[in-house]
Amino acid sequence: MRKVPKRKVAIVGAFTTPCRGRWLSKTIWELAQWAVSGALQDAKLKIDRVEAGVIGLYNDIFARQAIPESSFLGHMGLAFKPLPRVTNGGATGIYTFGVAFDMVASGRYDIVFCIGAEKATDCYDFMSETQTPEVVQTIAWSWDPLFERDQGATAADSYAEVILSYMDQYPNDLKMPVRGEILRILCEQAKNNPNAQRRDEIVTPERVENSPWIIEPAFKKLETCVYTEGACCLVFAAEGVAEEICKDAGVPPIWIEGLGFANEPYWWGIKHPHKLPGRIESDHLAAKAAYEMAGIGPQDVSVVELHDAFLPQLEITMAEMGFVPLGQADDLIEKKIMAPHGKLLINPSGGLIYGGHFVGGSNMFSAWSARRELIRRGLDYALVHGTGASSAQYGGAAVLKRGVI
Amino acid sequence: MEKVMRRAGEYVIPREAVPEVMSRITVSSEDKFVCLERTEPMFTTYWASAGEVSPFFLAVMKEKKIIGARCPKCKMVICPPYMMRCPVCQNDDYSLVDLEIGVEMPQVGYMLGTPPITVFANARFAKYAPFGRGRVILGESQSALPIQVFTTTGFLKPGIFKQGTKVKIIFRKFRMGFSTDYFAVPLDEVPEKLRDKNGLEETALKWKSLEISEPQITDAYKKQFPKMVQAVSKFVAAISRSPRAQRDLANWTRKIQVRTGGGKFGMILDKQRIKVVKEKVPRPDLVLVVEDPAHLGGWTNGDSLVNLIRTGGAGINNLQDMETIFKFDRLHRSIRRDAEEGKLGKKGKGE
Repeated sequence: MRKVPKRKVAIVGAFTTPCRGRWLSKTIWELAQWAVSGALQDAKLKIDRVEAGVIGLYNDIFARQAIPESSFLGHMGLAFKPLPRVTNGGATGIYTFGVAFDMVASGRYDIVFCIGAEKATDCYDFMSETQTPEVVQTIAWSWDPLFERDQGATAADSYAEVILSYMDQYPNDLKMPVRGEILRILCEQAKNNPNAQRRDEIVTPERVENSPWIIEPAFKKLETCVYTEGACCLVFAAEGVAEEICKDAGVPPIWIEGLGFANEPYWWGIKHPHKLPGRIESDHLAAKAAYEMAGIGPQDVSVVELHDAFLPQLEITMAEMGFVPLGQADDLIEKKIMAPHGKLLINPSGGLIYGGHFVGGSNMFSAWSARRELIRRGLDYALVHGTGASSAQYGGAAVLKRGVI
Repeated sequence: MEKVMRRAGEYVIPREAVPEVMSRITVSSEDKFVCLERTEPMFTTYWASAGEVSPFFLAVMKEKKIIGARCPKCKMVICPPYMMRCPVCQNDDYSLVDLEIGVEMPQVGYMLGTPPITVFANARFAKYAPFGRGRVILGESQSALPIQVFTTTGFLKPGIFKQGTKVKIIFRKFRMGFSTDYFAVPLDEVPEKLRDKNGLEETALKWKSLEISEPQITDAYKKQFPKMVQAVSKFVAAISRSPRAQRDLANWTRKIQVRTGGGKFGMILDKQRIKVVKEKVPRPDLVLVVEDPAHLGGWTNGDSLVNLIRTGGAGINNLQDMETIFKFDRLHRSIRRDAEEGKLGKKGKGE
């Protein structure tokens, strides 16, 4: 049954900082405040009109502080106002988005900040004298400490097992030349995103093929998302208020027409209530709920900004969300669905692989890009997606619609 | 309380992972902003209780058994017994039905899916890479037991374990109550007479160690060799012009002996540079064997040494030093990206 919120909610302002592998010159508090400042400027909004906020912070270890949200409130201009913190693994951003939506849709607040920030690469491994192993180690603390962590489960394993088990079932899908072509397109698209982390890089299918395996035979180095430091702030406003703000700012409201979430169980098995191999059911269920709430289907969507932690997972997620059949995800290229071969824009920001992945706010970054494309290109519907946690357990999706001033 | 078991000299935080108290002044290359960096910790140590799942680990440690749990109502079996109640079935008073704990599971099962082989591991496990871990279904269990997977044949290559591969549970000789006390090997690598035996310890199997052999010398390889050494020299000389490549090698020193089918040479990695030396390297930290010199030429053009090692085209004498190979694999891309962004310095002599 289609569930309709009490009132409509729109994104009326957005700002994202440039994505960098490391922001040596900025702390996480400065990044978040910069994003808030930019979003206020974008919406032409006085800070005292903002009644509350929600902040997505992926984990305390990256933040080097337990209960890190406590020190953000003052920076956000929200002193003496509510600022709950959301943390849901890689899907922290989309879940933060959902909480901010509920705060406005429920009628409790008219204007709310939806903020995500991340600073991950202060982590440093003094054994290898590099950052990445320690960043990966931090994410690996998310595995079950009794039965799995000691066995060497890594951050990449979250998706590797999903991808490999999908390949068990569909050995003729996820072909390397198709993956290489999608990566080439994503890399090319990142050049049009002023905030993309890897906008200067040139990636060809040959370079993908020759890059080393990260987890074999699931994915290679050029197929993995980057670690990013950055922040994003979206401004949500209720109908009645949103139109007034957008009129002043001179940009159309972007209505949040649909939202859906689903979490799969942690433990894998051969039947429910366990997570099943070869599937990301959370993505399927989240997208289905979002479509139903919006009253549309995948055929109505022009822009998808999805959480591509790893390229083969992008393809599986596109299948789970109904754009191609499961087992035929390569149709994205082979049947000319994905632009520029086809009409569907997928990750015009460059996605998390080439645009950037500051975990607490990556999905806000995706929403920022989706809004930008809807407005710039005059398109109607976009789908924003987030996934995360061990074995890609968490899924979230939002349908955005361009309004009129 | 029974006696404390310990691995003498092994620490939960490896000593070499713990930095001294330090600070440094760093200039952000993008912003030219002068920053202060300090070493900081954020850690907690535990005597972590396995609580209600302790019987699983005690059965492994003391009896070399794997136990599961069964719902008396719906008959669902789970292994490991990660919860004590059935999440589906309820009693008349609406409470969740208690599972029967202690169901002994068979020690031969099958892989739920193809297990990933980790090449680039996190800091704690880098020295074990490449290694495999996956999930095995034992008996009637509906859930899968997370497990490390090993082969007795040496290097863990793709294809040894697949979805459905029959595996045997093997127990470590010294067990302390961790999920590494047991692991899986392909059943067909276990001698037939041992396949039905429960509680099989690692020492009952014959393990092939990873050995690197001397490369076969051929005239064709000898002919290629000088050109290849020249290509490697030219490639590593570019490191001095690439800020990214220099960062890749920061704080890392190695003396590497390279043996090919056309001859030997050395690479001395120090002060963010690599120097190629023609003579034999005394007491090398690492030996890299690449039979076909052309493969090294491929590396200078962006091919991966990790891929070469994994496919058997190359070998190293110390798998625990894969980190050096990871660093070598980063160099081509770093130099290329600096070149594409116009950040590569001017060419020096010999380039």
